[in-house]
Amino acid sequence: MLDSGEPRGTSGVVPHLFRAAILVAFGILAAQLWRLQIVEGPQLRQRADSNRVRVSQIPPPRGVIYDRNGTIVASNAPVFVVSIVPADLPAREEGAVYERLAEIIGGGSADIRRAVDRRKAEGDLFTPTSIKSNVPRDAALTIEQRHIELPGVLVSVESSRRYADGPLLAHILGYTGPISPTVLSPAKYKQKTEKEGYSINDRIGTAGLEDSFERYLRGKPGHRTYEVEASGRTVGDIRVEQPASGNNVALTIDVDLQRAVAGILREGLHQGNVGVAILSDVKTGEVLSLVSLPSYDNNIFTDDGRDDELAALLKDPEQPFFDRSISGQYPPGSTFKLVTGLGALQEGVAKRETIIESKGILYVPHDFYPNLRQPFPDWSPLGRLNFIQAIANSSNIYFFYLGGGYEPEKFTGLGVDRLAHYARMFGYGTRTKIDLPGESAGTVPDDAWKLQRVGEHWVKGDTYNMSIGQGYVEATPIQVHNMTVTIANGGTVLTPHVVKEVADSDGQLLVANKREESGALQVDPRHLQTLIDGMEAGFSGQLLRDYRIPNLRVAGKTGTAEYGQGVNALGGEQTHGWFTGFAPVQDPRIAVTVFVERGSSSRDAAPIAARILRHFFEIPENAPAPSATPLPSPLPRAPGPQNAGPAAPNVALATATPRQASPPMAPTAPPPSTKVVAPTSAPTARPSRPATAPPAATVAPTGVPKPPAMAAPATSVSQATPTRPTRAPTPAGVPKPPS
Amino acid sequence: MRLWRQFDYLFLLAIFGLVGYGLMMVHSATCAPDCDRFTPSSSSAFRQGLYALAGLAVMTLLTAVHYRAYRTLAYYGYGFSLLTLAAVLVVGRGEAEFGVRRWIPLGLFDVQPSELAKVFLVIALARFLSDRDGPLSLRRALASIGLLVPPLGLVFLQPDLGTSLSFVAIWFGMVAMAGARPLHLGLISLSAVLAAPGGWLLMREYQRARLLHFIETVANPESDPFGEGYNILQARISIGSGGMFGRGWLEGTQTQLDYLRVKQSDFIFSVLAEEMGFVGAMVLFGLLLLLLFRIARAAEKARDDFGRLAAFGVGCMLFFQSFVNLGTNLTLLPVTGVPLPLVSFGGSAMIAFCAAFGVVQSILIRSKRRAYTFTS
Repeated sequence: MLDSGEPRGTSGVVPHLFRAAILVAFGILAAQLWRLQIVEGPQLRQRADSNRVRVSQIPPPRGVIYDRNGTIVASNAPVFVVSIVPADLPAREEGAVYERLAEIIGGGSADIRRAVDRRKAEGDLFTPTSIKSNVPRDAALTIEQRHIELPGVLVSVESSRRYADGPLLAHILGYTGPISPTVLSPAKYKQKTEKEGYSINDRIGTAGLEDSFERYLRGKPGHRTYEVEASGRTVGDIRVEQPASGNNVALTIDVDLQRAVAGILREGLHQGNVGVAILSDVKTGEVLSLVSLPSYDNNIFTDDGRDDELAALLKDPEQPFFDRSISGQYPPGSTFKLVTGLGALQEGVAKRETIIESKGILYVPHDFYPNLRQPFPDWSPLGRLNFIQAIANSSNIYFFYLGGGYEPEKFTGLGVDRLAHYARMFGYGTRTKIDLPGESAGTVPDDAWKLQRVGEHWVKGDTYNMSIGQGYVEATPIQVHNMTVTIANGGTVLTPHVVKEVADSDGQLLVANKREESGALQVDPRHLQTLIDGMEAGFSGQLLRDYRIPNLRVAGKTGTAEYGQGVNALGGEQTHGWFTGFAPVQDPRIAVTVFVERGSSSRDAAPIAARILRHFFEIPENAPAPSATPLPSPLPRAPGPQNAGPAAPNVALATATPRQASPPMAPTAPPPSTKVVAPTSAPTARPSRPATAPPAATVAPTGVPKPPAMAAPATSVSQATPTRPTRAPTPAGVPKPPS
Repeated sequence: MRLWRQFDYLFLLAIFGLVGYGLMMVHSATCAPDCDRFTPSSSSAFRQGLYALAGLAVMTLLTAVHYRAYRTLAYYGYGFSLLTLAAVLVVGRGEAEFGVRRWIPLGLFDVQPSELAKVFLVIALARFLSDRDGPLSLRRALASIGLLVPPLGLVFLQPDLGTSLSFVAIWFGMVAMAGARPLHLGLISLSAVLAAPGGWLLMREYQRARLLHFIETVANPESDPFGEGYNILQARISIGSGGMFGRGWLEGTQTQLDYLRVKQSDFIFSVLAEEMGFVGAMVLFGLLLLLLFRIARAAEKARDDFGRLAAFGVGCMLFFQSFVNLGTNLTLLPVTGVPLPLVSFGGSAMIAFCAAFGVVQSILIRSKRRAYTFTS
C-alpha cells in the first residue's frame, strides 16, 4: 500500500470537501466579523466607552450665608464620605467586602447591603451609593490603604453644611437634605433629577432659606470624566469640568441682635417655651431678628448619628420645627383694634374725640332673637373713654361700638365688610411674601367666608368678636408685625425681608432686596397719627407702666388672644399674649412684635418687648423704680411726675400720654381730667388687672356663636400641654419686672 | 539534503506569521499596566516566545525524521498519551473554581497532556485506518472508535469539553478521509445525535450552564451582563469596537483596562479584533487559510495512506480548533475553552501544533515528486 498513489473510497473528494468546508467556515466567520465590526461597530464602540468611561458629578460648594454684618452663619466643612459603586463589587464576594467595610466604619454589614441593593434595584450600577458620611479621618485612610481588599469602595471628600449658631437661626436658615423620592414628592423628585440636573447623592435645601434660595445657593455642579479599569480602579481623568460655587447670601438679620432677642424672649417666657419675637426696620422692611421658640439645631440633619435627637424633636409636643413667626396662625386679639380703630376714623364712624362709655358689659340684642340679649364684656368698667384712651386702655366695648355699632344708641359701626377691607389693606389674609418658605396667610373672615367654612351666615356677634381680633380672624405674628411697620412708616405696606442681598463668588450682586412696597393704606395721615398717639399712650400708660423706657418714646399695642374654652391655672381663660409696637415715636426706626403662646400681653409679651427695645437702643436696664419692690407699688417709675395712679384707668392713661411731651400729641392728649392724681386705693384700680383676668373676653357664657375651629390649627400644640406652669399668683397680679 | 527541496516554505511562513502575530497580541493582552516598558522576565509574550522556539526545534526534529517512524511508534505514543491523561486526573491542577484538572505541574512549567494527546490520536488513527487496503469497512470504522473512546473519556473527565470535541472532529475527518462511505458516516452521525442526551447527562454543571447560556445569549445577548454572559458580551464589545482598522496595538480599551477576560488564551482573537480591526482579522484569517490549504496540499501529495491520513488529521485538528475558537469569540458558538492554534498563549498547545506540523512537513518532503521536480 505504500506507494498506492490513488486515494480510496470517498477519500478522493474529501480534500476538496475539506477545502470547501474551510472556505465556507471562514466565510461565515468573516461575515459575522463584518456584522460585529462594521455594522454594529459604532454601537459596540459606544458600549466599550460606557464600560470604561465614568462621569461623576463634582458637587459645587454651596453658597455661604452671612448675617447683615458679614458674620458667617452657614458654611461648608469638608467631610469624608464612603460610597460603593455596585458595578465594581466582586461578583460573588460582595458580602465579604461589606463585612470588612462595616468593621472599619462601624454599623452592620446588613445596612450596607441594603443600601447597595436599593441602588441595584434602581438599575444604576455605576453611580456611587453613599454609605456613610462624616467618616473619621483615620477610618477613611484605612479604607484607602486596604483598597485591594475593598473593591468597589470609594472614599471621597465632600462638603457638609455647618450652621454656626444652630438653633438660633434654624427657622430662618432651614437645612439641606438628601434628594430622594421619599423625602421630596415623586413629581418634585423627577423635576429635580431630570430637569434640574440633580444627582441622586446631592443634597438639596429642604427648609428655610436653604429651600427658598436653593437656586442661588446650590451653584453649578462640575463633572469629572474619567477612565476606570474593570476592577473599578481609576486609571485617570479624561476631562474635568470644575464646579461653580453657589452664590453667597447676606441676611438682614443681625446675628448678635438675634442672639440677644432670643435670650430675652427665652428668659421672658414663663408659661412654657413657646414664643415669637420679631424686630425689623420700619423704613425698609428688613427683619433684624426673627425668633421662634422652641427651635432646633439644624446641624442635626448633616451630622451623622444624631437620629435619636431628631426623632425626639419630631415627637416634641411643642413642635420645634414649626416656625410660629411666619406659619403660626393665632387670633390677633386686641392688636387688631388698630385695624378697627383706623377704619373707624377713616370712615367717620368715630373721631379722636368720640366718647363711649364702658360700663363693663354690653348687652346686644341677638340678630335673630331680639329678646335674647347677648353680653359682650369689657375687661373692666373703664368708664367714659375717647379714642386715644380706648386704644391706650384697650377697651373692648369702645371697639365693639366702632366695629359692630350699637343700635340702642343709634351708633353705626363699620360692619364686617368695611372691617375686612381695612384688615386686608394692612395685609391680613394674605401672605406678607417674606422670603421664607411655609408662610401662612391667616384669615380675614366675612359673610361669604363664614358661609363656606362654617355653613352659617355672619351675625352681628361675629362682627363684635372680629372688632377686637377674636372670633374667626387669624393672623401670623409676621402679619401683626407688618401692620405695626405699616403704621410706623406712615402707611406703606412693605414686604418683609430676611435676605439683604445675594452675590456671586466674585462679589457681583445678583439680588439686592431694597425696600419693596406691596401696598399703601388709603387713609388720612391725621388718622394714622391719632392711632399712633393712642399706641404711645398705651405704652406709657397704666397697664404697662413698669416697662417704660427712659428717653425712648414707644408706641405699642398689647393683645390678649383667647383660645380654647378651658380655664387656666390662675382661673383666667387660656390666652396668648401679644405686644406689637415701634420706637422712637418721633422718628420711627424699628418695630418689635412679641407673641407668647399661653401667656399674657402685659405680663409676658410687653416686658419682653420692652427689654428688646432697651437692648436695641442700648438703654441699660438699671432697675427702674417699680421693679425693685416685689409688691405692687402704686407709683409709676416713669419720669413724668404727673403720672397717674391706678385709680381710674381712663384718667391715668390720659395723663400718662404726654410723658415725653411730643409736640404733635401734647395738645391733643388732655381730655377732661388731666390733673387727677388719685394716689390711693389700689384695690379699686386693680381688681381687674389683666394678670389673671385678661381683656378681650368674648367667650362669655352666652349664645354667641363661638367658632368651633377657632383655636384649632394654631394652638394645637399648646393644648397638648394640659396646664400652664403655675406662676405665683400675686394678689394684685403685678407684672413681673422685666429684668 | 535533497529532501529539503520539497520543504514547504509557504507553510513555514504561515506558521511564523501566526506565531509572530500571536506574540504581538499576547504581549498586548498581558502587558498592562505598563505597556511602554518591555520587561522580559514577567512577560507572557516572552515565555510564549520561548515556547515557540522550543516548538520550532521540535518541528525541525520531527521534520527530519522519516514519518515511517511515527507509524511504527504510533500505538506506543498513543499508550503514553493515555497514561499522561490518566495522570492528570490524579495529580493534575486546574481552575479551582470549576473543579477542573488540566495540567501536570513539572516544576518550571506545566504540561497540558490533552493538547499532546490530539497529535498522538491523529497518528494512532492514521495507522489504524491505513492498515487495511480497500475502502473502509463499517466494521473497521466502528472499530476505530475504540481508539477514540479512551482519550475522549479521560479528557471528558477532566472535564474538557472543547478538547473532547476536537477528538471527535479529528476522528470524523480522518474516517471520512480513510474512505468511509457517506451512508456509514451519516449513520454514525445520526447515532451520535441520538446519544446526545446521554452526553448531556455526562456533562458537568458548568458545561450545561454554558450550553444553556449560549442558547440564551443567542436569543438575547444582553440577558446576563454580569454573570455567565460577561466574558462573551465583553468579547463582542471588544470585537465590535475595533471597527475597520482597530484601535491600534496596545490601544484597545477593553483589553488594556481588563474588561475582556481570559484574553491571552481563549479570547485572544477579541484582543486582535479590537486592536487590529477587521483588516487585521482578515490577515489572521489569511494566514490560517494558507496554513490549512498547505496542509491539505500536503495530505494530497502524501505518498501513502498513513501520510495522507496523518496530514489530514492534523488539518482537521487545526481547522476544528480554529473554527471553534473564532466562532466562540464571534458569538456563533458556545464557550468550550478552545484556544486559537499558535496564537493563544500556551506552551503545550504551541509545542503540540509545532510537532504536528513537523509530522506534516516530514510527510511532505518525502512525498511523490511532481514531474517538474525531476528536471531540477
